[in-house]
Amino acid sequence: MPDTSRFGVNYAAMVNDRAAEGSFRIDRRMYDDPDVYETEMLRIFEATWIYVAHESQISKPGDYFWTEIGRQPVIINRLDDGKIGGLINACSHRGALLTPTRQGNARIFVCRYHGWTFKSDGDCIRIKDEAIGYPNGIDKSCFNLTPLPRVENYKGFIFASLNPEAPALAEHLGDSRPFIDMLADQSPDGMEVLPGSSTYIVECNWKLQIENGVDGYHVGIVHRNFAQTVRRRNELNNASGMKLTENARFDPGTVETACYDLGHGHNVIWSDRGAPEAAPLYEAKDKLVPLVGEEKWKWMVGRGRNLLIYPNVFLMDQSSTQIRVIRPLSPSKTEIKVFCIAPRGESSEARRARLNKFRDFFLTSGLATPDDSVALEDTQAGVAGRLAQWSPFDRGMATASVGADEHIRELEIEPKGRNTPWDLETIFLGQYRRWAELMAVDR
Amino acid sequence: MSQVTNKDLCLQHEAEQLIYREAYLLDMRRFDDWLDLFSEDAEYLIPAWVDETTLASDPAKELFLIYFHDKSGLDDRVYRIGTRDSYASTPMPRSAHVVGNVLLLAVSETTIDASCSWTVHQYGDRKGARVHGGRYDYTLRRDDNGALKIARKHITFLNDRVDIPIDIYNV
Repeated sequence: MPDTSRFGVNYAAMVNDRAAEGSFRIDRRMYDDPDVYETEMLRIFEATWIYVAHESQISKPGDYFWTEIGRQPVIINRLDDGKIGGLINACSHRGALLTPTRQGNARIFVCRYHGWTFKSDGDCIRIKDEAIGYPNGIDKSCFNLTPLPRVENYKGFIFASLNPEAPALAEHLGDSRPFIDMLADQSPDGMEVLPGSSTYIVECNWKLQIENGVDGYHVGIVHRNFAQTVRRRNELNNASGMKLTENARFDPGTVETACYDLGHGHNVIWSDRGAPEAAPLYEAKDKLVPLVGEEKWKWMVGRGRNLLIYPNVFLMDQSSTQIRVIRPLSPSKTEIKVFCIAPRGESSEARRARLNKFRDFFLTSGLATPDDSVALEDTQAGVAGRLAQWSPFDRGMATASVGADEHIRELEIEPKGRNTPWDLETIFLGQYRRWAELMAVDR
Repeated sequence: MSQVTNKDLCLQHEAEQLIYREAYLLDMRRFDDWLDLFSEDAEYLIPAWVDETTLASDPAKELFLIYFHDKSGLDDRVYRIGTRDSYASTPMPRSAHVVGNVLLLAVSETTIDASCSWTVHQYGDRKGARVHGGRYDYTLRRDDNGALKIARKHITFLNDRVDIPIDIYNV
């Protein structure tokens, strides 16, 4: 095995993969070791594809969106020709950020420090007092902004990579694509991110966050009080305008569920909805079935799904529809940005219900996410207990298998792992094998 | 400016007492008494920020951190805290609400619109001390028995990035 260590740390050994013998565990050092974190930034966040924005957030020429890839500030923007651009968000002169706001419209970027000016594609078009500073002339193209090596759009979801050698986005997304389609194709007019977002910081490692979003196992414990509160609300008939569909997933065994390791670290877990006809999307049935077919419609409306696109975004279509973006800030600190995504042209009644349910569950001011966050912070604190070195991910190994089951046969995908019910932990093998794979590529 | 009447002073006092009492009951964790301060149809809103300077204004179209169209939403929250089963709310952080600059913006026969600024000092074992702040915009309304109740509470929460869960007891 090649030596892929940095700082003398052998990352491969942190994933103790003996799945053939029924054991898979990871070294808890990977949750809080600063050297591991530094290497993750280089070899994962700055090497693979990172979700950056939804195209509805930059619909008009000049619209820009400022975000981060790993540690690096980037601009994602709509160019004059309608294409999507990507730049490092730093003036070529001294490095100041070029965007005064998180989102906005700018046909040119004027640095607010020394006034250097750039076209939206990054071309340098003005150097203040150019003739004085460069009396013999200067080729301004030397000072063009640094473009992102790769920017691609998959059905409205924009991904970028700082690695020019990254594979094509479609290849990276692989078997996650049909599950992205189930959200992206919910309106013939496209999807839109609704105004307003919520950002919160959880004092835990980013990997605990991405585990949590496809962890069916905690739902019955951490969200027991959510289920209880909702049940009481229904009994009191206080749920008007909620379009409730989701309670079934809180009652294990009452509906079908499953989880798939889709390869490249991507995971999806799903659960049949107790009452799909109550979903906000249901009104679109007559319009969508001819377009997407009965099978895909059944997936769209009949099953709640949490999709992780490794390493930084969840597309969730559970009680509501959400883009949840994960950004590591330090080994023990992670920022989460949540957006509500909705089909364009849905009725105001459906839109209201979608937002009602979004607030209920997904926000850090809601009835569920706060409980996740604090559970993850307790986990982060606990993994500092070095003497207890390993976290097992082998629960469910006896029933795990590979390839398609009857539910996904028509999707024409081949999961690297699958299991049922959805709360078995074998999908995490996919996350940590991908982690080990990326961490082994020297950068 | 017109002359201040006794009636003005009484209304100011009455509005302030209700607003301070609300803060007091939250800090004392007397949530059932707190609920009694709201009318049955009370609206409770915490909009998200749409951009650096714009708050969401329509909970049917834009993201709100919390929006309850009537008191039942507040009742849910109190129930959930009471289950002692919410990871985030057990143990509960300690808090001190400070409300000031209470300004009556409009007064009618039955309602008072009041605006004030707030801070909440919070302390919890895991996160230590945190301070958040913003503005409360109230509509207070007299019920059939003449008691002044909170008919609407609109909370401007200055942060659009937080590192603690947000709930009725810490805003």
